[in-house]
This record gives sequence, structure tokens and C-alpha cells, in this order.
Amino acid sequence: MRILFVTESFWPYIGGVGVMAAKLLPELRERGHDFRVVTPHDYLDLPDEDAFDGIPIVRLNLLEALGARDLERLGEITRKVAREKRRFQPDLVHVNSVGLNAWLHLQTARVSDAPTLVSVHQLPLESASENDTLQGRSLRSADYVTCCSEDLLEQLCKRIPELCTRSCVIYNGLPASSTTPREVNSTIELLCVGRLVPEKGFDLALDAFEKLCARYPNARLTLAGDGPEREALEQRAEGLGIRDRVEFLGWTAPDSIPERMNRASLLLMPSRREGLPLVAIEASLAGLPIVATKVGGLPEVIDAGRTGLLVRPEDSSALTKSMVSILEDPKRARAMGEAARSRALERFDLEAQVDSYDGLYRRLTASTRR
Amino acid sequence: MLQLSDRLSPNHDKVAAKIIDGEAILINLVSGTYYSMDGVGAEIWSWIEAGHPLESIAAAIESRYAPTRETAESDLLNLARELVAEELVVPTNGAAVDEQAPIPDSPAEFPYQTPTLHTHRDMGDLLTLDPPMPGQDFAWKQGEEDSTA
Repeated sequence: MRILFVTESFWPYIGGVGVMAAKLLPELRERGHDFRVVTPHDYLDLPDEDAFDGIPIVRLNLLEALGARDLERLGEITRKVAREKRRFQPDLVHVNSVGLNAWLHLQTARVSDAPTLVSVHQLPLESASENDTLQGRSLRSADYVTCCSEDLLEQLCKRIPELCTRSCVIYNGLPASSTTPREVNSTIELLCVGRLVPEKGFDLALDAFEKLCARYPNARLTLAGDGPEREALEQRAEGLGIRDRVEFLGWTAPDSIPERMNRASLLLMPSRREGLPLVAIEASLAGLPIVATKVGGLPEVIDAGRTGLLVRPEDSSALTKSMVSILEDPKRARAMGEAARSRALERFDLEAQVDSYDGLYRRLTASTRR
Repeated sequence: MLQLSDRLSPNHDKVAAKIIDGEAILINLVSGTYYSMDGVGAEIWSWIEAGHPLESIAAAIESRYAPTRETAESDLLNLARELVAEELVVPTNGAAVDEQAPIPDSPAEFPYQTPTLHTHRDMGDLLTLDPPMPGQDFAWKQGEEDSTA
């Protein structure tokens, strides 16, 4: 069946939402689904019309138009999406993440009577509990909603109770073969992976690393990813006197992340806000211990004390303390890594995620068949 | 209290509006809230912009869409009150009707639906979470990916 996939992010962006979608769609295509991706442009200079693994992509300058309050351009964007819907005639619209991408579907909803599936990857704003918001309207008008973690579903149903009867959890998944267990090594290399935005808390990572350097003067920190906070983070590293020990990789191809993980001593995730991050699942599959904040779905990936350590958010000292407790005990670090891999293999399998979405697509289109 | 004898006009100090392909998109430039109306709502907005009094607009709705007169008037007043409350329009006196934008007297091409003002108060917050990046275009990495593989 034909699925119009309206996503907040997609390949080649390495944020979890985009990476997950890029892994999921080719697998679902193998099950007989035909996709067309519609997504806003972001910070990379990419063509408006593109393709990934043969899947057509349409990118629109939505963020720029909204930022500039350019109604003319917003109208053109709406017109373009409406044209895509008329041409493609989707059997289902899958809105992946309820960000500004939801505008693209809501503003053209009258063009198609296909059912709408909304997948939530991060807790919406509190204002989503009201109907006079983009997020609130998008969620309430959905025929079905999926969340990527139990925590997220629980929080969402508290905000919009009517969703309880038409929602479920589908965990993000990765193929078991995508990474191999790492060899423990003595070089202290800490790794952060993700978009350089405030919600990832990489400023706290720098603060925590600076404190760590007092104990491990040869330690290094690598930040894989790019984004609007890059300059501020580089300046922060400079100000902390650790700039020569921090490597900013910039945009990093997702295929090269496993190799980076294999070189690392642990993954540091000081996030302020998370859904169910693929990075945490990937690190677990790689047998890499994780030190993370107790936010979002991270406690569902990390079994605190057994597969990694969780600290309260906004506490760089707690991050340092946790990192030290792993680094000073390589035997414990290895055991944590092995336990992390077992847990990830059991819980976060890509095949199971594909089965769930495939079943949901068929169920939703069958119940609203034209 | 708003009545059919009143006339409204867009609040030009605070509002930017555009109608494209039968959809009205509005933004309150002070609050940053976005609004949209399609179908009947977009037509009502265009008639307000052209200076038609509410009484004429109600008659036009009845004539073009064939709801009952009571429904046309009630729905119009409800929408008008909402537009006033959101400061998208202000009551006006004596403004001339734009002769270049008469109300058509032919039936509408789509069925009647209650005109609705869709409000999106969270757009500013969502933009803050995901700001646009003007002037920071990173060149696409040559040879990094075959995009049509």
C-alpha cells in the first residue's frame, strides 16, 4: 500500500527520528509498502527532490518560511504538499514525530481521506493538552498514535486522555547484526552522539569532562554530530581549557558510528529531553556502557547499575562521578557492556518493530477502506 | 456585543493574512500565533477583507451554501466573535466595500461546513525547539552517499 511519510527528520540527518525512519522504511518496503517521504529542510544544504534507497523524498523550506513569517511561501509549501497527496493518492499518512512537520499534513488534510497514523518520539509540549495548538490538533485528529516508550505513552495519555484507547508502544529497533561487541581498551575516550542542540545537554558533557580530566589527564571526548549549538560548545570547551582534548566531528555518517563506539570507553548522554534514543540502543548492542540522565525512555533502555548508570538531569558532577565509577573498574565496565548487549538484543529488535508497523498499517487501512 | 449589523476589518496593525488556493493563513504578529481557515471560513475572511458587512456575508453564506438562515447567522457570529477575541479583526464604521471583490452570487463548489478558525499557539515554541538555520548551509558532502542508490 501507498504510505505518505511526513517526517520531522530523515536521511541524511543523524538525529534518532531520521535514522530510525531510514532503517524502518526500506524494511517495510520489503513487506510491500510504497513510500513517499515529505520532510522540512533543516541545516544541511540538500536538494528539494531527492531519493534514499529508491524512496522519493520531497523537502520543503517550512522552518525558514515560518521563521520569516512568510505567508506567501507557506502557501506555496501547502500547495506543493497538496499536489503530492493528489498525485500519490496515499492509502495512509504516517506523521513521524509531532513537530512542525505536522503542519504539512494538517494544512492539507482535506485533500485526502486516508487514515492518519502519528508516531510520537518525544513528549509533546504541555500545551498539546489544548486543542488550539498544532501538536494538540495533530494528535487528536490522528486515527492512531504510537509512542516509542512506555514512559512516553503514559505521559501522553495523561495530557490527552482520549488517546488511551487508540495508542500503543512500538519500541525503536536496530538489526542485531549492525554492531559487534567491542574490545575493552585502556584508552579513555568518551563519546557523545547527537545533534548539537540544547536538549542533548552536551554543554553538561563538557562540564563533566572537564572535571574528569583532573583524574584522567589523557582522556578525550568526541562529539559526533552537528547543529546550531556547535559554536557555543566550542567556545565553552575553550573557556574550560579543554578544547585540545575535545573533538567536534561535525556531521557524521550513521554507518561510521559503530566504529566510533568500538573505540569508546563509554557513551555519555546528558540529555534534558529524550524519546527512546537509537543511539542508546546502538551503544548497548555494541556492548558499550552508558552514563545517561534519567529522562524520557532512557530508563527503559538502561537498566541502572546493570547495563549503565543513570543520573538526575542538569547535574554534571553526578555525570563525572558515574563516569569515574565505570572507568576505574574495567571488569565492571565489561560486565555492564555484555549485559547491555543482551538486553538490547531481547528488547529492541528491528524485525519486531517492522512487524508491528506492518500490522498497524494493514489494520488501519482495512478499517477505513474506501 | 457583536451583531449582524456590524462591520469588521482585518486588524492590520497586528495581523498578516494570505488566502492561497481557498485557504486563509493568518498570523498574529504580536503573539506569534498562527491560524488557518479553509472552505467557508476562508471565503468569510476574504469578504471581511473586502469590507462587506456581516449582514451581507450571512446572506451570501445562505445563498451560496444553502444552510438555514439561522445556521448561517449563528455560525458567522460565532466565527466573528472568535476573530475579534483573537484580535484578528476590529469593528469598523463606514469603510467602503471593495468593489473589485464582490460576493459571488453563484452556488459554492463545495458543501457547507461550519466555518472554523484553527489556532496554533505553539508554533513559536516549536520553532524555538527546532530553529531554522539561515546562512549556515553545510555543503553536501560529495561522494558521501549515492542519493539514488
